[in-house]
Amino acid sequence: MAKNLVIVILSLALLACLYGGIYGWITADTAQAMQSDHPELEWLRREYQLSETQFSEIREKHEAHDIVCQELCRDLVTVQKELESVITTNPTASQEVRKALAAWTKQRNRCREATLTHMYEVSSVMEEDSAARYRESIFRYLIIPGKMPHIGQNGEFQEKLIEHAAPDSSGSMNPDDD
Amino acid sequence: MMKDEEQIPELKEWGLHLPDDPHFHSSVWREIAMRDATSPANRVREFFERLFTPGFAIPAASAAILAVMLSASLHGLRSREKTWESLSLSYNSAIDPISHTEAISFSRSKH
Repeated sequence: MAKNLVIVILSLALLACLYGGIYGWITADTAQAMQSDHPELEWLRREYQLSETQFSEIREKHEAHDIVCQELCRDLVTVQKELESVITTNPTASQEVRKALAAWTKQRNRCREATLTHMYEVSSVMEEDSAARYRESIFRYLIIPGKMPHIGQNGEFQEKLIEHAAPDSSGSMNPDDD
Repeated sequence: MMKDEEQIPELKEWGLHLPDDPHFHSSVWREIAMRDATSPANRVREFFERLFTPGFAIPAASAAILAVMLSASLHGLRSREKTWESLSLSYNSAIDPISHTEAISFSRSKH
């Protein structure tokens, strides 16, 4: 009986090792990507099948863009906080509110322009097909307004009010409307 | 357990005809002993003993290996898919200041 128990325990241990081995083998590429300096760039490398030269060039551009991005983010947070404060304290759409809104919109435009510029810089490094696919992907994720009351998931206008615009159907109350 | 002298009058009372063969009595007692031996605990023990016979152990081990391989593969593929998906969103967020700021605003509004 003791011998059988040992066999059962050893079998279970072997099965656990087998499970771990297969899981580790399948997820090896993602684990390696997560350990790199820029895991998100590893996704880009895989998705657009970048060569080592293309990848190095894109990484440099990405790091340079990050500096610009940080500055834009800081400014955007500032104008966003100003707008929030002005909207909270003003009971009507006063001149002050309009001014804060204009500053916020202007800053968002600067941000979108910076993203578009970076997108073109990155796509210029890629093969033609990959570049087109990359631009389309960025456009869908970042440029198309996310959840607008009359714009469907396909990006087309619809007369009927779309449910995703209902306040409780989305976590965010910040649709891209500039 | 009842003995012959207690059991036989009882069985006769029920109208059962018992053969006089002495072997019959011993085989009845043997049958009763065997049935007693098949208690739930004994059945469990027998089941585990059967597990270690080649006829049962080989198919059971094969099935366990297949099940482990299948579940590990499915788990790994799902996890891999989720990681790439999350990295794709990270990339989009990393290059777009608005996504950054909205993420901050959203996390502030949640707290």
